[in-house]
Amino acid sequence: MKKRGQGYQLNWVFVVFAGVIILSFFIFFGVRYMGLKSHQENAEIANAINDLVHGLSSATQYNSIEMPWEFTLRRTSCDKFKINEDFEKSFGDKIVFWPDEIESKELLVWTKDFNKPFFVANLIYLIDPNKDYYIVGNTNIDVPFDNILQVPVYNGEGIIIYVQGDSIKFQDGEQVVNLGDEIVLAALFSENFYNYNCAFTKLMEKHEIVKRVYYQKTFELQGSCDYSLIKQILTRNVVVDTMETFSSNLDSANYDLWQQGCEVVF
Amino acid sequence: MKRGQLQIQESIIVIFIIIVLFLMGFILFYRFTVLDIQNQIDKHDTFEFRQLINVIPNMAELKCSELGVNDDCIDILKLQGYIRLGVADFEDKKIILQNLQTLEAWELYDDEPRRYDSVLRISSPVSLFYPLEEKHYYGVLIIEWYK
Repeated sequence: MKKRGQGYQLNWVFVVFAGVIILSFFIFFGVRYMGLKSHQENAEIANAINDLVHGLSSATQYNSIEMPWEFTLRRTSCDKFKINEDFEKSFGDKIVFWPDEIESKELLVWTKDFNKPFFVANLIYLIDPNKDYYIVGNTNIDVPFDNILQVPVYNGEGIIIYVQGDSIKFQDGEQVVNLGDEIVLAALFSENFYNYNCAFTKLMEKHEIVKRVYYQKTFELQGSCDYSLIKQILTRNVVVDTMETFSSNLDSANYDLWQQGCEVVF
Repeated sequence: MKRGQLQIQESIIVIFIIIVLFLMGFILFYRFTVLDIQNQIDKHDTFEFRQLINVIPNMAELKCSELGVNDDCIDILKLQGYIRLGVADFEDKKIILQNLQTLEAWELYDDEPRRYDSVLRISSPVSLFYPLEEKHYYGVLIIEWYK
């Protein structure tokens, strides 16, 4: 009787033990599968955003991307972002202005070309559709999205930048030089000076390279025309504060060449 | 051996086999899912590579322009200047531009790694502009990716 009871107990211990093993196996499998699946989804979102940015980098236009799930795009460095704290991706050499964080199912993307005075690059803006953006000042920029408003005075909530003549002021008080509508929008969608400066530094580097390419081109454009003035302007060191002067001087020197019937540089 | 002990041993073996089968299934499934993610990343990289055929002719360093108005062609003098500067950076790629009429060719970039498994090649017709002659030529842009 006692032996039979012991066997019965042993059976129960065995069944419970086997059950725990099988159950824990399924739980482990489920957890790992969920992790993998979410990693896969995050990779899909990050790649879709990156594809859109790459696709728009060679044209001026706007577009939006909608995902089946809400996602958080968080900036991790100057040109890298993470989707849902998981999949990290880089925009590479693309000049993208975007805030610290976008939490949405949808993402708006807009590109505008930057010319000073020659074409330098397409600036790419990543815009949160759930935020209201305010440009305070006397601007008149063509905007394709409803959440971007231009007002003379504003003291309410939202993402605000103040455009005062030659300067653009962020909400935190930092100021940058106003180089035109593209830069006003760049400051607006960056939301702060740090984010703005990340992409703006890249833009200035690109400007320098294109300027040097044109300088190289002037060596081939010799003959009966005098390219010494344009050459001299192209050797000048350009910083943010001298950009407008550089741009207008170079533009008029190029125009003069055209008026003289010479081959223009740009 | 008693009948009860035999039954328990049988059950242990059955459960052991089931667990081993589950484990193998799980490992296989896990590996397939990881492979699927890797395939997606590869597909995305290939897509990015294919986009270069549109990105390169539109680069400010190469694109034609007259009085600030861009045109859909590659300025040969800018191309030569850009090559001389040596600032191009297209990781693991080889980029060649060829004039199909004069058979002139320019190697814009070449970064052949020591080891690679395959070479993916794409090409597209482009218009090449010679500012000194003020003439357009038919050209081809060839991009190779050492994978």
